[in-house]
Amino acid sequence: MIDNLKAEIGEDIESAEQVGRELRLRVRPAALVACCRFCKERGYRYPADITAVDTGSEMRVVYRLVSLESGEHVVISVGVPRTGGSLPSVTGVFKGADWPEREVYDLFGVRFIGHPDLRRILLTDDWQGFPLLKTVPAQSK
Amino acid sequence: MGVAKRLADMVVLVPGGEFILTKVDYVLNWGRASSIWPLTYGLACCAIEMMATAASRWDLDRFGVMYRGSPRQADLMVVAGTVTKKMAPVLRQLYDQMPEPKYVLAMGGCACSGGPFHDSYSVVQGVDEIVPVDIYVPGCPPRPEALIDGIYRLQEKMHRESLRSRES
Amino acid sequence: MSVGLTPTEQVILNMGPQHPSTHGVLRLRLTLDGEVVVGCDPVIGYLHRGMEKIAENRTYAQFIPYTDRLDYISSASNNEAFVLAVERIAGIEAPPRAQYLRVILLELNRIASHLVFVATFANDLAATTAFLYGFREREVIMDLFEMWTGARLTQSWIRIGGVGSDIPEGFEKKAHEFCRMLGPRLDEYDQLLTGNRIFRVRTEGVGVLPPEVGVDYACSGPTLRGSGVGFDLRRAEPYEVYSRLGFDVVTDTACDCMGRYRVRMEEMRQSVHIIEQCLDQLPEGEVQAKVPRALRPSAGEAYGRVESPRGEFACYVVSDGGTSPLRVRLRAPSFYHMAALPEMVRGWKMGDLVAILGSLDIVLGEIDR
Repeated sequence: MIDNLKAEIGEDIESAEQVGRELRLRVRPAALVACCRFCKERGYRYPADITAVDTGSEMRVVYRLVSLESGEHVVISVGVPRTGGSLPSVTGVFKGADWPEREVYDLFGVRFIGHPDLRRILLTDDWQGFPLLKTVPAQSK
Repeated sequence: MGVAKRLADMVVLVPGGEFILTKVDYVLNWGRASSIWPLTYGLACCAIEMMATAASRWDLDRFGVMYRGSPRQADLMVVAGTVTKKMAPVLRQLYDQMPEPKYVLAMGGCACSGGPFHDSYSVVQGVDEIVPVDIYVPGCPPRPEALIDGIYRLQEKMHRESLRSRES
Repeated sequence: MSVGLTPTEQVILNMGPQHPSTHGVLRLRLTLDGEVVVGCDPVIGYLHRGMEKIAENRTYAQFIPYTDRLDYISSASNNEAFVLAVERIAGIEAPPRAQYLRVILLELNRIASHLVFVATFANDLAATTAFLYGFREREVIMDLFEMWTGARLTQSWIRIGGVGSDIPEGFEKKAHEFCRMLGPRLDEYDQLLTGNRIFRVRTEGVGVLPPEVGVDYACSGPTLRGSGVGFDLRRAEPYEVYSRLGFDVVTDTACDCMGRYRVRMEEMRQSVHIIEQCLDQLPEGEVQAKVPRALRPSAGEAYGRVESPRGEFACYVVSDGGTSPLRVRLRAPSFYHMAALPEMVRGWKMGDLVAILGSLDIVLGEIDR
């Protein structure tokens, strides 16, 4: 499958690696939606999780797509800047991406272009800042 | 519960046998303590233990405790669980909606003082930052017996009240 | 919709966050056309405690009690997901006896959780005595937990490398007694609830979740299996000793509230079967592997998935080699089910909304984290 994927969006794949049952891809934002759609058409129809990881030096948004038939995972990571970052929304591909994208926006500040209703989901509407970023101190009394 | 013990203090038989003499305070307090109606206000894990206390094994109904869905009909708010900053205004609004005399029982570590979430950005460190608390029941979650003990102490507190000065 | 020639307007009704039937602090902003729900906007976050941020400031072992408080009705499955991920990163394997004990704890938690489901679901539909029945059975399970772990609700007994302690003397006997007792009690529930005409009218055909929609929303567990999709992580990605145990993956093709209810009822019977097998097959041995006190797993990441009573509960743990995790993502099944709620509820009346919401069996602790 990875060869077909490369044929479609080849130049936007930064890396690809098979670890156990996970195919870990690193793609550029421009290819995100195409990559998700490609995977969905090949049976990865279950959007298990969409989240973000801030390592301190860089931040990436992680999409985990699972095929219920084969049990294989595709884990797509997309790098984003830690402030003011934005990505195309994949709600057009998976309806189940709606709320997780809102949560990533709420806690990390990543904006999703094309999301039908991007607003905070867990914190109050008037909350300032994005608490899960490493720049926000862990302890706050 | 305490009525049989208190009967000797509460009433005086007037000679002749047809009247008893008691204080308004005693009767009012007895009425309030014997029919505490809490608001269904479970927030988190403690709510499950609160439900278990109200259920078959530790039946709270035998103490006169009957849960009401509306704050207008309740006189006790059992804050069972973590209070978050988002929930705080709602909690205050519910408290304000309850008619006097009203009481608050903080159930569980989170309601008493923030519990294990002492360094969370979104947790209120104890419900007493928002409403005055009458009884604190610690635990994570407190056992049903602990909650019943808390309600018993609240009843004791109610018995100590008087029309002249409300202990708070 | 007009009643005769009377023009009507839509009304926005607020349900919650304090409400007897919302199963926690959930707020629903409903757009109603008369009694019919035309729009539903769930507002969550009233129990958001910042667990994921707290995880970055605790050691791996210290975070385990916090995981209990997520899906607090079945705490062991949360522990298990986190511990699976951490053990995978650190290359630790629990000894065989511990794995069997973990499964016993997990399945007892599953039965306890499904009993709460039956109790509260029927209670929401005004069968209030079912609440007392469900909690009566659950108290026996609480006794078992207390006997073994000391805690009734949030056990924190699945630790990195094993379990907190071995089962005490008398536990096996009591567990067997419980297994024998539960079957007839569940038959009682079937007599009182499943065949009950009122219950059936309120749940059959109500709140249909087509399987493709369920998969697209990443629904899982009984919610998805009630729509005929046989996805059960205990078979799809077996963990612990599930691959050695015989049990059925329970599905129902009805796609409605009744289907989801029937799946959970049957799952309780399957869980009893699993527990009995575990008690029979329980090997001798240690219950805890050697794990360093200040665990520093090597840098890496893992996604630990568990079939919790609600569905796929998973922990995505990223380690940078330190004593605290770099990132812990808690993937809760109820979050995804809530996202599907507006679609399931559209066109139904207020009373049906309560039935549909109840049939999803959500827990706000894991939705909000």
